[in-house]
Amino acid sequence: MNENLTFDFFAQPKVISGLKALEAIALELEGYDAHVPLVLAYAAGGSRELKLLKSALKESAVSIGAVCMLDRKLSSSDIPEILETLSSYECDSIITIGSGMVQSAAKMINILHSCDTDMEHIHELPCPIPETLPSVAVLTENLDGREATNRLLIDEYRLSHDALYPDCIIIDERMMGTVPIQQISASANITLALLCESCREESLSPIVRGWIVPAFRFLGDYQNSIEKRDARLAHTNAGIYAQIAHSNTGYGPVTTLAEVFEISQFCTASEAVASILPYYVRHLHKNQRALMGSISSDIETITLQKAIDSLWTHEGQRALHEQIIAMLSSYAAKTPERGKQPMIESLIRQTDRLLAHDDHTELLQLITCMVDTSRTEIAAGGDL
Amino acid sequence: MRLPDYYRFCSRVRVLSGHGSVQKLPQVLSSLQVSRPMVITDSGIVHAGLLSLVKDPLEESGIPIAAEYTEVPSDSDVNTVNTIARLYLEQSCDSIIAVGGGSVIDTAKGVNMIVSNDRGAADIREIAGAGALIHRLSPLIAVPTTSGTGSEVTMVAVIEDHETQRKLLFTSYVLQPDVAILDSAMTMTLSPALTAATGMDALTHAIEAYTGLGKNPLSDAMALQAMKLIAGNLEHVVKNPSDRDGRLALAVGANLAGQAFSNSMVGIVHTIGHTVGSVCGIHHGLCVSILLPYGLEYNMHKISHLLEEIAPVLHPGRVSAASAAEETIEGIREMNRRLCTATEGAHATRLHDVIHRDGKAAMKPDHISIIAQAALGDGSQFYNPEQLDYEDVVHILEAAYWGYPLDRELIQKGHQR
Repeated sequence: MNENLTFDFFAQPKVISGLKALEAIALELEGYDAHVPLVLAYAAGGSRELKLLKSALKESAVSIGAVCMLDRKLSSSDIPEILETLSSYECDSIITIGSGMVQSAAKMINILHSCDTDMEHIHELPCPIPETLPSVAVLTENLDGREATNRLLIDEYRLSHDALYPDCIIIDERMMGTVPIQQISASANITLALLCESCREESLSPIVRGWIVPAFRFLGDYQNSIEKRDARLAHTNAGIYAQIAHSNTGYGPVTTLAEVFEISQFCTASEAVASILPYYVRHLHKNQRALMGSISSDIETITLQKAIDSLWTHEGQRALHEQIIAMLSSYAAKTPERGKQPMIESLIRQTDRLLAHDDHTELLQLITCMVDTSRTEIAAGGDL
Repeated sequence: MRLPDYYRFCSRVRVLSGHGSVQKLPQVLSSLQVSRPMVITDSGIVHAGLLSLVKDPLEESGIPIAAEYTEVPSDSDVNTVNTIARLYLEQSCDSIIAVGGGSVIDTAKGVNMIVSNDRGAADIREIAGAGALIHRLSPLIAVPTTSGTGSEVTMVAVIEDHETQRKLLFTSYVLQPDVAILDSAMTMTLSPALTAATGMDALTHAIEAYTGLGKNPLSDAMALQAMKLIAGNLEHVVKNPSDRDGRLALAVGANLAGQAFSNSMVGIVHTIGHTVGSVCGIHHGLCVSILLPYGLEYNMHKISHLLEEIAPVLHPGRVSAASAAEETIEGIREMNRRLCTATEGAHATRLHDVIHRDGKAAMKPDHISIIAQAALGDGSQFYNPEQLDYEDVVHILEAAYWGYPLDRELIQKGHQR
């Protein structure tokens, strides 16, 4: 039986990974006739990375126009100043160094610049969106799940649009190795969530499968050597593949709920994902058994069970998990049959408010699954 | 799965797939911010009634076709490209819709290189050298009518120059079309023989992408998905040409194979196949289809582990682990034989049996040395896992001509003397 052959798939970023990948940036920008990039980087730890970038651009016709060193907790209030720098130095492109918020910031200023608008009007963009500036994202291992996507999130401002894709993703081995293992694990949690959500029956086209299978395999093959540089590269590659696949399949209930927790600052997205994902996998397995079987046969070296087990290996995560479930359950009354509905409605109201999420069916099923199934049951394997 | 030390992957083509997806052309043009498209196609497409499938939704949406060129010859060359480019500029077109097989789409890419050139080139031959192809081109929408070349998604264009007897090869990321529309309706009229030949061309792209030196994790993944779709549907569609789902699966498979080899390049099968095609006038898909098992046998000592990996994808449920590599090759030979039967001999399984329309044999034994010599100048050999040697290519061609398996004892490369 053929799988879903009706699809619309787009992946703007060129992926360049490995030894001296940074050296490719000049040629990439010149390909767009861009020679004066604005560079965004984190102030903490960014100077070494900036030095590497400058060295990579040394012999080229590309000359850095301006550099913005940003705080890791940058917020929407920082955006106008960066935008001003972009304009006043007449930059014709953007290079962003580092993973996480800085990449969302780059997307935000790029879209605001091309549409000549401000953040308050981000949902009233012209259609079609005018051409954005060429952008290169140089990544580190601590991905937040959005870097290579067509999405951004800064504070309460969130947007999905193909114009937000970076043009080029650089994964250079020299950029790896500075991030603690815990942060890589956190990124792997998010990657796993993106991959699992991309497996949904209605969205799993052969192209999506082409992006997610190597990502699953990298997670499986390199999960026990995470401290090594090649494993970090592989994890980052896996994260990028998952993000590109997920950009084409859309938010699912796990990433939706995780974003609710992230925006409301209850916990980080990766922490939320680690608690929610096992229930989602159980739900998928129960309802889309044939599909999950076919994914497992593609993956070979990693089973979802193994991956799910690894999510609960840290004591801290277990405690948080109990907290999340307790919080979800607190909406419910003492009797589950009567209590479930108000709890679900409340969460969905919250989701609506924060995300304007319009597909409640899966969300509802997931939350029901979380309330009905204990962690012990999930951890024991059962249907998984 | 091992991460390579370095790789690049780029496939910026938006792929729209589905039955009736060509109906979305008006929205596609709108999203690309263009309104004066030029349609490029060949007379076969017009006669098959396929052009109207493209034009009707545009007319219904009130989008005028600014110019139309419907006479792209099967051996399109630089003069055709230059002529169409002049028409494009005269009619102030702002985009191209290419409807056809590899020749039409490559012609459209050639036209796009001229009309987007900021140095004022009027002849495709003037566009050469480093830096000539780094800037974005005008929007190009490709609607493939065969499931083989993958040209709708590749970064390559081959344009012939009949005057100098040369093929101009252009390679650049900017040559990737903006949108590829895969619609089963566009391949429904393809004959069983052409379906078989083009399908095997796509399968060869996927296998050479997976076994070549330029492979990377993403090209591998695309190649595997392509193999699964093509191997799972090709014979069925050749026997049941009106199967829409099967047609669409082949179109998607060929597209994925195109994404794979565009990022990893091809190898010996294409190296020899290009030359056999140009010297003997044999359809490219049929050439590579016949040569595929021989190319894999030649590379066997370097790629047996990879052939073992693809065995269950190509021949699910019938491969024993002990001899998976050999069985992969034998399975391809069997597949060719079954396609030969299904097409009543049109899909030949050895070069000796390829007959031109005038009833004459397409290739003679005398051609072998000429082809072997010329093949050594083909650029695609650089990504082959094993170096090519003149004597070895002669052995391969002799075996493929007469239809017996390659005697690896006679081969210089890979044979442990």
